[in-house]
Amino acid sequence: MNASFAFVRAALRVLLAAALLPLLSGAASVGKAAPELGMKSLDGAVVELKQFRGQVVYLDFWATWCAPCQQSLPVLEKLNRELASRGFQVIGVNQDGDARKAAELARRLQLSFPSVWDPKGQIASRYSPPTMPSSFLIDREGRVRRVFKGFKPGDAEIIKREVTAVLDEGGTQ
Amino acid sequence: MNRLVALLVCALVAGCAPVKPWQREHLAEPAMAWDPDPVLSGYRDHAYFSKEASSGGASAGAAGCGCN
Repeated sequence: MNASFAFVRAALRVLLAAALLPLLSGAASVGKAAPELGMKSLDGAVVELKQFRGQVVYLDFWATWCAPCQQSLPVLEKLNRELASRGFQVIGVNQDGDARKAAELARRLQLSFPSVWDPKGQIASRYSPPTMPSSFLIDREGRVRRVFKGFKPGDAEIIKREVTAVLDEGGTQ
Repeated sequence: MNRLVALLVCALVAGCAPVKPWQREHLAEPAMAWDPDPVLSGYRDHAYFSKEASSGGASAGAAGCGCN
């Protein structure tokens, strides 16, 4: 009987630890430092957030199997081109298992911003995007300022307003 | 007590885990949808309603990418 109690206690400890683990994982949230990327883009170059320190970064999680992502990408491309001169950079994080599919869509949509390929969800695990697509607005100091959940056509104006507000804060470029 | 232990063992070995939003690639495939052709299903529902004077009960929730 004592052995059974010990087993139950051990099992409860394991369950408790499993329940608390997500709280300790340090997922990206507003006000915290944005976790590093450090993985290769669809073009093969390693992309790291520290390369863009001093710029406002819009980190967008997307995939070819996500229909609203395909609506959001042209909007982000336009925004990237419009605001690049002010120190703004869009970076995609692609979640496809097959990089060729992602590269094909990026080519078709003529995306000029880099997209990191994250087939095993290593970056996604650090950021925990609440849905697909999700985006993280990162300020010039590398802190997450806003999390955008999902995308609807009317969101383009909201995104532009939020990005412009962070750009207007100035800071080092 | 044995029942409790058995219950805990079952819970631990069940292997259930929520699918994260970024892990839904295979669930988003058309083959995973309950209703791969909603238009055709609509026609069938209409024909069924016309013949039987009753409708509903022919569909359920779907798989899909769970986006937005």
